[in-house]
Amino acid sequence: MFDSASSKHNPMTCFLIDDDIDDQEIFAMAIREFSESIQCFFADDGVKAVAKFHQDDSFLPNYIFIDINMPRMDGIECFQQIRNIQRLNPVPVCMLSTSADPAIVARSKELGASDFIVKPASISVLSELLRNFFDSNQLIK
Amino acid sequence: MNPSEFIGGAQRPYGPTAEIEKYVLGKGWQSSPLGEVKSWPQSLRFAVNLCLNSHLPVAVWWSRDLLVIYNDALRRILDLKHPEALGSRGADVLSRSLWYDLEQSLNSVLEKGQPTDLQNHVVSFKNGDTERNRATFYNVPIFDENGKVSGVFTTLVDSDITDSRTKADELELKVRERTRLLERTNEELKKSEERYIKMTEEVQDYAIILLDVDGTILNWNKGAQNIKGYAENEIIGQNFSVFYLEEDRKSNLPEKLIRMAGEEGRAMHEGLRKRKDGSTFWGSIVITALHDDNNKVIGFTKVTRDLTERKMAEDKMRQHTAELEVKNRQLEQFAYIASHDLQEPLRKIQTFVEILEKKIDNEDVRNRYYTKITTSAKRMGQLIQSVLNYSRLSQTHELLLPTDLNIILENVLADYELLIEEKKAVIRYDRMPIIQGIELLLGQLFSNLIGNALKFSETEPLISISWRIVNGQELKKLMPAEDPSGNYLELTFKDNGIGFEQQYSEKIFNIFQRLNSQEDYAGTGVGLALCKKIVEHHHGYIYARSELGRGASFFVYLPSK
Repeated sequence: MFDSASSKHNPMTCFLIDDDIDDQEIFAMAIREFSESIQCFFADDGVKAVAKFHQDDSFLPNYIFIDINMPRMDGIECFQQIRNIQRLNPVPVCMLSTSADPAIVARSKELGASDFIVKPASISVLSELLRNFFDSNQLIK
Repeated sequence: MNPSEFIGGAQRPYGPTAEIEKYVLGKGWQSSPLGEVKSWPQSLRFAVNLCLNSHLPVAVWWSRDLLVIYNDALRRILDLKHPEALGSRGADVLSRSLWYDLEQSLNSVLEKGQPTDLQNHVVSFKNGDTERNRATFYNVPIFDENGKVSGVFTTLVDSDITDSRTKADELELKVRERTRLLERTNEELKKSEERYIKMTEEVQDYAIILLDVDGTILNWNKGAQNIKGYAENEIIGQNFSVFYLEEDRKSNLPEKLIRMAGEEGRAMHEGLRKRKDGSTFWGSIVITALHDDNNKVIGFTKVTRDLTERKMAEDKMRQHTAELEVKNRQLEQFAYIASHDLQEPLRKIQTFVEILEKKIDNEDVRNRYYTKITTSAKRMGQLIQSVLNYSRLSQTHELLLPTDLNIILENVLADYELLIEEKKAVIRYDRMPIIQGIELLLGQLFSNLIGNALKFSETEPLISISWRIVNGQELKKLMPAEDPSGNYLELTFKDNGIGFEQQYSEKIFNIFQRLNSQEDYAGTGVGLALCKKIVEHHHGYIYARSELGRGASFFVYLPSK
């Protein structure tokens, strides 16, 4: 489904906000495991991500992934800022973190996150989790 | 014939008083079976004399014919045909029912010479009094000169008199017994009351006082004296509101409590109360209304306990609990953050190993991920070390000792010698004071702050370290000074580095909180958290001021003598 004819003309885009470049690389590898066509964009932290949305009105990814633990602006704050940007409202947002603090998971759900993925210690497991996320948050054609 | 003749020549001490005597003496005895008085034997004359002079109802029966001579007392009782009956046979003058029984009794005396009595015989009283119509006849023999029984001497006793006498005696006995019982009960009551008063008086731990309806103090015990400090003579007559604080008196608390006790029977309250010397104690009081038989309030008892110690212990415990809760939350947060940050490199290592397994033949991949694994492992080691440093600090119970900050500063600068040279850093500092502190921790504090100043810089670092003494009052706005009257040493670490936005000035002291990416400025995010902990350990305060790109200043306040 991710490599459908329509998506070839208009490829699906993911935006990962994570300060850790290793995690950016791991994320991209996990996506590649099941899709060659999904385009990945990255921001090194929340401040840069929010700035990018403000600077480029045409930037509208299909999915947004936000790491919780980041310097300066943390994932929750970043999510709040993104929620304030009107055109991003319909975009499913998934939070990522190495561990799941129940309070932060609850706060994420409260803010309207579609999912909360605890980063696994394996690319194939992450790949599986991401695939499930895409399946349950399919784009309205 | 005069009475002296009648009684056999003996002089009577007083004149004839008995009315009957006149009849006896005046009667013409010649025609009677007894014959003339002169011819009467001595025993008869003596018996008649006794009879006539007796106040009791008495009769003399003479000879086998039982001829009767009676006195006034008897005549007043028995319905006799007087004076005809005098000297007549008993059978002719008494009612048949009485005579039937009496005759036997009298004959028995005549025959046996032994006294008899006729108990409780029904007698038709002259006055018709039906209530008192029983009498007992006590019959005794009259002996003549030869020792022969020649007559009977009868005394009549009203049974009711005897009865009522007994009854009266019984009644009196009962009354006496009751009185004794009452007296005993009374005495016990008195003793019990005394015991009670004594008990109340002697109670030392409770102030037990009696108030009238207006709250005026009526009595006082040892407990009250102990707790409130007043002697009995100083306080009786005063209103109990003297124990209340000014503000409680203004809000009419004593009156409210009295009213409540009056309306609801009881009022309880806990709060600060005043002693005679003006000091306060934490009192727990119960005021109870006292009622009379008509349920009207006639006063109050007031029992006060001094709970100061308990209150203080409770407050202390509450404070401890609150502190513990905060510490617990901090610990929980710390455990979470620590595990999070420690997991990160571990997770990466596992992931990189997974990648390597798949592409172990590719040399580029091998080199790339071996390096990454090494980096992650090294970072993990650093994190573990810093977590250890941080948690060890909590266990430090070392005493604060005079510490020369000059030595500390020199040691730190020596440690950073290479970095300082490499970065061409310029460090300016004053001559440092000697303060009370833990050398090792202060060394770590200086090392972290100077290390940060060297690390977070794009140009040649310019670092200045200065100090001054400030008054605790000045710090009130900044920190809840433990001793606002004391002086504090203000240490300033100022640099010209990259700085940070002021909004992060508090966040930076949180453990694992980082403002810059790992790639730009390596670090564990523990350094400043450690600094804060060290300063707090010295009962001090730390804060930072900065502007992005314009350097940062860290201010450390430590108590100074």
